[in-house]
Amino acid sequence: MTVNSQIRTPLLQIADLVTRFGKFRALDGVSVEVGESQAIGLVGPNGSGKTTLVNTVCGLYPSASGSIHFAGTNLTGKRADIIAKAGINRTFQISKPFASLTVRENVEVAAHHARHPRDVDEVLEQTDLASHSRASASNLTAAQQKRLDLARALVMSPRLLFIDELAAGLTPNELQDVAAMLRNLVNDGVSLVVVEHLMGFLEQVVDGVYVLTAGQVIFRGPLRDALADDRVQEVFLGRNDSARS
Amino acid sequence: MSLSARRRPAVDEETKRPRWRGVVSPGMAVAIPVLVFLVAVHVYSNELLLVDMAIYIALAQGINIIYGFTGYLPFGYFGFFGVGAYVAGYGIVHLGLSGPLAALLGGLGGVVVGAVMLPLFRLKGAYFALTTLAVGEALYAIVSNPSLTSVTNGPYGLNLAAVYSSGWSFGMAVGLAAISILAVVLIKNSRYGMTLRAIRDDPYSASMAGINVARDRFYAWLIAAAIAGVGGAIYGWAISVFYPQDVFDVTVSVFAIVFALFGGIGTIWGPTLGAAVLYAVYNVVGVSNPQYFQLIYGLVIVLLVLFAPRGLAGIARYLHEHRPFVRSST
Ligand SMILES: Nc1ncnc2c1ncn2[C@@H]1O[C@H](COP(=O)(O)OP(=O)(O)OP(=O)(O)O)[C@@H](O)[C@H]1O
Ligand SMILES: [Mg+2]
Repeated sequence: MTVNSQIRTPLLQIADLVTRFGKFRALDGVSVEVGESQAIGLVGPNGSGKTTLVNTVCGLYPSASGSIHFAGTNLTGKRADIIAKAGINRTFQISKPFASLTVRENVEVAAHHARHPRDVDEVLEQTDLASHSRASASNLTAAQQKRLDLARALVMSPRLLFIDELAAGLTPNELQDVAAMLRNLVNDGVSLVVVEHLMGFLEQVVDGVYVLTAGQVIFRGPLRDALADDRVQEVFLGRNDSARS
Repeated sequence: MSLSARRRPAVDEETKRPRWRGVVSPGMAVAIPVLVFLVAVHVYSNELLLVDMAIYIALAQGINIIYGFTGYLPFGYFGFFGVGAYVAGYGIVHLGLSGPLAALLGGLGGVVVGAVMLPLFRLKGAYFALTTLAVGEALYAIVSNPSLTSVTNGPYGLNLAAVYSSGWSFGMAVGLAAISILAVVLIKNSRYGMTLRAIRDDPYSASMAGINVARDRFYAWLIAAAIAGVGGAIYGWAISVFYPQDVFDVTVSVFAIVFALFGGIGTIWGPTLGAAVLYAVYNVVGVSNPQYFQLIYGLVIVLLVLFAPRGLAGIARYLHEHRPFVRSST
């Protein structure tokens, strides 16, 4: 099963996206398609542009060229709140809670502005934050803050979620729980784009991967094939190893 | 240990907030200052000083709304004040409006200027603060320009003595202070207040939470602008003769900011207490050498921003949480 074969009408269609920082092209013509209820992984070495892709699609950075279509609407260049209301949401590699609000208020404020808000308590339950709901968001651990990012996104009933390194720093048991939670989301009809370095974790969650390097997609397909691919290995293992082929 | 077990801890374990915060009801934050003013006017003869103090409470609360809830510090806040004074003055002199109506018109003037300044919100921190300062100075230059004498009376100022009414202007000033405090109370306890705090904590996260950041920030800005516009109008009305430099005066911004910071931004009581205390101090010690006070208050801004960003309210909370002895409840 390739990434392609699953897609009939892609929910998200990113075409030839270019994002520049000065002259540097952090995204250099990236095309990605994500179908309904599909989970794809986004992998690549440090600095390859994974977070930049999330940031561009989610309205933090403007794109220099290319287009972003979601559920039949052109979201290219739209404001982040419009993108969020259209049904795209995200978590952050370095979480960004509202530090002066409580955990519950963090989720409530998103619910207030959502087009189709979910029940706040249910989302807190789902992300295992219910017992901290009255704590200040700034007093949470890093892992809890990442779950709070997720809760804030989930309460808005997104159709597509970008997950930027949720697994980093978790224990094996916690990893299992998070993987199961993400899989449940997909079963509930949410599409996922999961940025992750941990291949074992990705294997449990995603249907296929895109491999990014230097702002370009060099591979799309099942994770197993990616790991066996020469170019992908070269990118991940570095120049020294490429001599062996 | 049944006694101590029955005593509720002074600090909520989860939120780390002292419980007494819930005890002083928000209504008191409006009622107490109003009562104090109504009593003070009978025992203290300098009514104009009380008018000024009430206006400064309003301005400090205006700063509280725009800086405390959005993080944008407008050094040019006096621009709204001056425009309010002039628009109201124009209404009185040329349209024959009564003082209270003119004051509302002054507030509208502040709102219009605030709306025109919308693009400045693209600027960050210090750039925003300084650019608003430039706008305030530009407004002064326009209003005081001799070639506009037929409209603004240029450098010669306005004379509103014809509609002077000490009772009314005092009442309006106290009313404005009350409304400004009420605005802060309502914002702080509303969804809108939660939205503003989310924006201040992290604007991009806020937008991913579906918040129209620019629009919601802008509303806070307009509320603050309206307060300053009405404040300037009442001030001009109360002193009845004023020149451009009296109302387009950066001291108005500096004072309002110092008062708000000193009392504690983001709190309901802070700016009220800050304005009352520091404006009283200024009048006891400072009126004879105001230039020193500008310097001192400038330093106070820097020190507060650096070392006590939550002002008196923050210091009070700190002392409460770190107090060496806990009084027994018996
Ligand atoms: N705001 C920015 N300004 C300038 N350069 C940036 C900015 N954000 C990212 N970059 C650059 O763009 C490139 C891609 O960065 P990005 O954060 O997207 O990588 P990444 O694939 O997410 O890496 P990691 O695995 O370390 O998270 C890097 O060279 C980075 O330095
Ligand atoms: Mg990254």
